[in-house]
Amino acid sequence: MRINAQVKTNVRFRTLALRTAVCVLLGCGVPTESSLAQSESLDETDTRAIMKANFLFHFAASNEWPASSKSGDFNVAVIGNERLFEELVDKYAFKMVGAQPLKIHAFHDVESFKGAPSMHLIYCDPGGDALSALAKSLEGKPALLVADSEGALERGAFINFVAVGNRIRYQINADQAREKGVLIGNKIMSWAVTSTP
Amino acid sequence: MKKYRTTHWMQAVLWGAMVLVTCVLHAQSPVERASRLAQSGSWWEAYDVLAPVIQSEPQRSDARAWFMLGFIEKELHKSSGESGAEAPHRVQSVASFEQALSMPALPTKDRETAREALDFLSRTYFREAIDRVEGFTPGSTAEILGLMSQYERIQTTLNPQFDKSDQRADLHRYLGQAHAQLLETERHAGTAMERELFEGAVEHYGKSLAFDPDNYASQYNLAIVLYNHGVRQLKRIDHNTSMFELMEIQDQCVALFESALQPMQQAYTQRPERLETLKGLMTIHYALSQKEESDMYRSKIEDVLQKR
Repeated sequence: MRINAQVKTNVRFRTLALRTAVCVLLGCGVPTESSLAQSESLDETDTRAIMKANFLFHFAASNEWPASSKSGDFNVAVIGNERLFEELVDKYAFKMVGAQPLKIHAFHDVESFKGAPSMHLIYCDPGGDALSALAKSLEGKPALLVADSEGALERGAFINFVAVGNRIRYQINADQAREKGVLIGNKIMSWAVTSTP
Repeated sequence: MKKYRTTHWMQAVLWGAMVLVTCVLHAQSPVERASRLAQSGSWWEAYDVLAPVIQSEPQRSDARAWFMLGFIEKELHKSSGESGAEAPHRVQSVASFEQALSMPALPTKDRETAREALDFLSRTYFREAIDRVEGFTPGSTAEILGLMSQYERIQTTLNPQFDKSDQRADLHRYLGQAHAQLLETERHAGTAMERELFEGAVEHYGKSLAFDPDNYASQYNLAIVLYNHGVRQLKRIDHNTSMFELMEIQDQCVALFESALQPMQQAYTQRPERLETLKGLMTIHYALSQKEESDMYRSKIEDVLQKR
């Protein structure tokens, strides 16, 4: 927040710069900083959150879920990524996944997720041991664990976001998902960079 | 009878005086008559006397006639409220002064006055160009550039060594900003106009940099326009976006983000301590999934803030 406040620009700056330029040209003697004048403001939207939110929606909508998961709300948990949660709530909350309305839940960290109600899709931002512990806690549950950290598939995630050529793509461990009764859809499989068959 | 003769004599004198005055007036040249009328502020009357005969001899070869017409046209322009590169009285005034200056017979004092008048007129073109950038509307670029060209042409006439680079760089930067501001309003979201505004912004920042390659503001603003346009595309992603479309949009956005990186890095090279460029680089690298680079600039921002 502090950084944002410090660098925030003002659209009035352009007018000031123009006026200054005119004053200088017309000999008003106003010292100019026009060479530094800038009015464009950086869009601070979390671009990766936008992409990941849409991917998560497709992961929810394009896979085949076990019959036991096809009633009630379609629950998605976001652990440790507030902006992704906000993006999901903004654009995807209550959109239908089959006959189920999408419901988004936010958790600060893996610890706070403990005791949470049953989820269909869980996105976990923290990696490492926290991810391993989460994967362990989900054993036997038909929940699809999605991560964005190095070595996440080895730690028990089914889908892991990776950077390929400056783009967000994902790896899939389809075997593990199938063991849980979640059948990864062809559309999702076809865009994966690496996957176990 | 005597009284009748006296009255008759007075009428004859009066008539003679009138004839004499008329002869004197006709003896004055159009330049002299126009000058007298101009001195009394009767600009239109002065114009009516001089303009119709300016192309006829002897006025045509008279530097003073062109000088006078230049002034008359200048005043008519000021009172008319006309604007635009083609405002007729201003165009004529400039042409008349230039004609006068091209004639060696123009006295030194008049020559200096004509140069001052031309300088004044050129600045009115510049001021108008700036006003139009401030109230920018799509399609007004040609008019703005026309006004600026007039300013530059006259300044070059007055001073053949006149260097237009700095002001051109500024004008194109302002035009870039004007295009970008309209883009930010989202008024033209998803339309051909949006594309036009985006391309206009990029083009003008590019031209600004062609005139002044080290212009920090143009480099920074160009980077922001490219980056923000990518973000704008991303923001339109929603639940109706297919995977195929998502990948296509991502490709377009990454291309824009990559294009934004170079000018932002150039801006950073010039002003390494400025938070806005550090933040720009941090954000662009983040959008390009380059976490290490993004984190590096984040820590630089923290360093700068700590020093303050």
